[in-house]
Amino acid sequence: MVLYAIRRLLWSIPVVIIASILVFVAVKSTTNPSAQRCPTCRAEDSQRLAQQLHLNESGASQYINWFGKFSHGDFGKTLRQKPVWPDLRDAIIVTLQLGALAYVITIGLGLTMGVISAIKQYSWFDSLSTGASFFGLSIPPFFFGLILQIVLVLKFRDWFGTTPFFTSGVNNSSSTGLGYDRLIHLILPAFTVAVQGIAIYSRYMRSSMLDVLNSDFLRTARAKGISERRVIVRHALRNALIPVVTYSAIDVGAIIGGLVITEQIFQIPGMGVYFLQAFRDGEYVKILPWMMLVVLSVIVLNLIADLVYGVLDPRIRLD
Amino acid sequence: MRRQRRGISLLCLLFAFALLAAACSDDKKTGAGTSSSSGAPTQKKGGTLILGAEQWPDCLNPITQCANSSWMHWAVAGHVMPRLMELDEKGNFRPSPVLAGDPKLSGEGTTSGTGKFTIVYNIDPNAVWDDGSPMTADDLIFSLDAYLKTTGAVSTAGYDKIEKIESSNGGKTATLTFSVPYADWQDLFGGNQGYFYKKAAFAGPDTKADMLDSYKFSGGPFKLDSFDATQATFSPNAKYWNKDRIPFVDKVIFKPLADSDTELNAVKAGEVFAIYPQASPGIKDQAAQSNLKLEFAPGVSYEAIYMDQNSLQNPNTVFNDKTVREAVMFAIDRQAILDQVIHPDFPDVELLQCGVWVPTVGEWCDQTLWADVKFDAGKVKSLLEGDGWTKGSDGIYAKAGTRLSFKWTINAGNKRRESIQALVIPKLKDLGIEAVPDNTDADTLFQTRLPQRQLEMGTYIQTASPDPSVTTILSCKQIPSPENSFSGQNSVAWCNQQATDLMDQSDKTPDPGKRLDLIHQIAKLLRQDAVLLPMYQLPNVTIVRTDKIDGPTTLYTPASYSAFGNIYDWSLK
Amino acid sequence: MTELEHEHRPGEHAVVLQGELPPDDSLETPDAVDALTTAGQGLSTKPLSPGRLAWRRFRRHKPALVSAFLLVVISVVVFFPQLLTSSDPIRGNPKAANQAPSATHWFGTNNLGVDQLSRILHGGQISLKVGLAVALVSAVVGVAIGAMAGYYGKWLDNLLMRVTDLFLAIPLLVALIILSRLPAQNKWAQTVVGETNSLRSIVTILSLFFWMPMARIVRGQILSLKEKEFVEAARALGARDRRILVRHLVPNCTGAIVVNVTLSVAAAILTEAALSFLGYGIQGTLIPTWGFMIADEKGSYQTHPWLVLFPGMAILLVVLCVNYLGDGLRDALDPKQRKV
Repeated sequence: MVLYAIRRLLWSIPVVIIASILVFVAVKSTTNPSAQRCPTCRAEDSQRLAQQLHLNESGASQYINWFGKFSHGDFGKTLRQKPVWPDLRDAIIVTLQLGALAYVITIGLGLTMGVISAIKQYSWFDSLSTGASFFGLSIPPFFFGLILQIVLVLKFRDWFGTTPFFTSGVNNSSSTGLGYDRLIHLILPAFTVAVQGIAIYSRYMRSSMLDVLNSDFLRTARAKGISERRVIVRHALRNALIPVVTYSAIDVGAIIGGLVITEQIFQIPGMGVYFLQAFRDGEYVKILPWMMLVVLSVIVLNLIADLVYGVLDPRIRLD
Repeated sequence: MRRQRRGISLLCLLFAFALLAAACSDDKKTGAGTSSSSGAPTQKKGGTLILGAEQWPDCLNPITQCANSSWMHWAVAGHVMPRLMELDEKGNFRPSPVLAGDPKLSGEGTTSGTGKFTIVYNIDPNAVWDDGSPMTADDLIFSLDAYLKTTGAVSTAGYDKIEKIESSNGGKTATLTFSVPYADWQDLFGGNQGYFYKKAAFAGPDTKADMLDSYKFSGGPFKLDSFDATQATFSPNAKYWNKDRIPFVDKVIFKPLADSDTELNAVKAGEVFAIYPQASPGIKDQAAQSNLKLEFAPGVSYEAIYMDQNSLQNPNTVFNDKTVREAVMFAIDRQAILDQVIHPDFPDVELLQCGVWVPTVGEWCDQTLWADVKFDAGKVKSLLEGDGWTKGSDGIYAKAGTRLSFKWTINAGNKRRESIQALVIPKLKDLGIEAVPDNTDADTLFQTRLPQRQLEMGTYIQTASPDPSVTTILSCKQIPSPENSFSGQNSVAWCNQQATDLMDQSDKTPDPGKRLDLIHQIAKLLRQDAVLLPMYQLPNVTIVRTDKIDGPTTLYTPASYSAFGNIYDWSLK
Repeated sequence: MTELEHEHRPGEHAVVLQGELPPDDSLETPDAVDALTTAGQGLSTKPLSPGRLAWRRFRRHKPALVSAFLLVVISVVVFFPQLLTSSDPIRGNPKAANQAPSATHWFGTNNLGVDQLSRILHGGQISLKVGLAVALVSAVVGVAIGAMAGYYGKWLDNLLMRVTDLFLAIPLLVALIILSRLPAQNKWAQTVVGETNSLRSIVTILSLFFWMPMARIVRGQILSLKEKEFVEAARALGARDRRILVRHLVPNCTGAIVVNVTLSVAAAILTEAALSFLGYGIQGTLIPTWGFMIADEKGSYQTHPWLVLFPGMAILLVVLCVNYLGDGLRDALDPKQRKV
């Protein structure tokens, strides 16, 4: 298993490098950092700029330069001479907060809906939850986010005079950092990120739970006279959760995709907005480490999920 | 030289309700809450002013590429950094509070365009930095060094013409000597996007690693307390010497809001108190809320349709033919664009007839030049058919095997420009001209396609700077090409040697009267060559929460410094 | 089983619906059970053909049936908009600008007085084309890779599956944004994928990131199928590898393939809409795609809500129908995977 883990990690190296080259080529070839739109900028200014900032160097040597520094933990400086890491770190922190909240909502709501649906199979709740999951899977997340903004902020205020929610930002003017204010700011975006996940997990949990409920060992448990409540909580739930929880670890990629759009709609200064902004500015120095971190975290979490699954389910053999 | 003082006196009369804005009243803010003698309502002191910024700067150094973000100036630097000359809300230059009186120009270059040219600035004896130390000519000498020696300085235009700066009168007088006359001298260390810096706050003249996310000093009404990706906060500069610009509020916060939709939501929800959004179609309806005031005024930007010559996207573009350019101008219904796209929100906007200047900034705009250009099917027909074009079986003109077809590029997602395309393209087709939309995202357009001339027809806005020089955008030497690794901003690739000579001449002519004549000659050539079709001045829009803030909140709507140019005069309700 | 099958694509929830819980093929054979019960109910002793069986199962899935019907209707009106409206999707009537939905303009008009219904129908052509094209192209690629990996095994399997992992590790939306800009400056990219933001380039780059789930599913099925007797028999009769793959193995995966293609259509439409929303989707047409319409008009949702809601509902409706259809098809064609 250790060997398996090492092999998987080794495989990630080419992935990361390929991803970074892709980023580099795309960003380099579609941006022109010495292009300026300012009233007093002359051709000679752009040329001087290109020369001072080494913009005319060949792409390969720029990439190798960058990679050399990066492999030593130096994230480099942007075209505007700003160190990359502090801003990237701030963005990561905000995104982790949003991601964590979204994750809690996803798992919490998704699993609850799934369990209830399974226990009350074919009830009205089951049909409703099935319908809702299909709805959640089919609605474009950005459309959902817009609707949340309209209904829960703007219309809500029209109806009730005030609203607890916000359309943008992460903090009120009066507070900074974590706290109730941050939580309230993040709740709509988190829900937007979570909506697809809720749909998936509720379906997933439902089927997993149904499998367990219909299995022999539960029949045995019931036969022994254990109360239904105890059967469900102590036996069924636990067994049904195993595949679902393992599965949940690998959702990073989906969350990141959802974050880019959600952060854009709600103006959350996290990794999504960081990426879009950096891509717009042609700052490959900012995007490369971003890409590296994201790809690495996807791979590592995938690996962890596999390993945990291998431990939980002895039928799976990792080689 | 223009008479700035007289202009100011006039303004004071016009804006009597807001004497605060100009240096006409000295007793404005003695006692708490006392306002000017003109009878304006009393303004409250204290509180936190929260404002929205449409784009968020990445870094704050006004010398390096950070300065390419307008919002860096509007939301941050403009409130903290001192200027020599400054712009009033109408775009006229005037001495800032740093100066004691008008600067004195001397030397034969002042009028002749060649020879000696010097400027003497007298610094106000009370002008100090936020630690109480005086502003002196040494700070100017250092600032010149910084502009010239900073790695990655965005532009050294003008600064490289200064031979020396001499300090006298205990550092309170600075004499600038130029190697050649420089007409745009007012934009040096001030004006549109210039400032000067405190020598003692820097280790050396290369400031590339300084002022990234903080300013260690202030010479303006505010001090920058913090800046990050979520907000910028300011507090009043306690040592600010000019009584007219002592802020009413205790704290100002700027928050990033991505686009006009996000901004509108935030201001409607009261998350910010005022925004300065781009004029997008429908904004007036969207801002309809009883406690919101939407004010618009002609701004300094204009939108035009550019017909690129020698396009690198299509080297054989039909726009290489002047007759085609002329015909296309008459085939585009500017009045319909105005009526259907602009007027529903901004009914007062008029057609722009003078090319690359705007009538509200200076007297440079000659509103007769494009006045004859109206939608005229007959004229299009006679122009084209007179030049040998004939309609093909597909209804599109052709000549010698070339169809009258071109690509038209805008940045996708801009509803205003998309509407213009939707309006114009079918009409062009009726006249036998094919325009194919070739839109792309804003970043690709403005960072590569426009600078590398990968366009045939483009529609975008340019900003008319307070100085009338158009050398950077229209002279032959500024045409980007593979040979000069695509530097320069003359993306339409108009090269008219006569016009270029006139531009060079005008840049060396500080005398406003003589300059005006030169500029008008350039404009005539621009019209003759049918380089572009000016459409309108884009209105600047300010939206404020009337239940939250007070004061002359929309006075600076048309200004180059954005609506937030005078936030020291804003107060809370 | 040597490899785990439960990874999935970011943003590609359609596949998740297929229940990539570890397949457990040793147990149930629902086909047989189903066949018995259905046959019993049908008061007939004659065994039903697989096709009829599938149809029976599909018919029982009411939402799928309704969805299939709706999709046919939507496709017809989108590709033949003149059936519903004669309004021009580009030229408007300035006097009828910004009108709310009415008898003349069912979906209202935009700021130039263009009929919104006509715009949505014409714009839908692109959205539907993208969905179908991406699903088909990525299916071909996915089936080919999955079949080869599953059949030949060994190093080829290992290599192909690692490449699959590689593509799975790159966050979808971000990769698409980056790739969408490649043709802008690179002549080689332009020749390969077509001009920036054209239908062809967007379909190409989307397909590049949509084949992996198909490859995994097909591989899994081939792995178990290739040990079955009929393959042994074909081999004994001297059939070559390619023939066995094309004639015997892949056709036996049809159910899973059809289901997965259907669900990819939904995912592709959603992804294109998201890309358009961020400004990197299909551009250069006077009639924008649905995603683009929402992006363009998102500021109008209070003043002219119909400009935002109808394109949004259009996406929602189509994707919802496709997802239901996929669900029904799975029940009908691929009952082994009827886990979720």
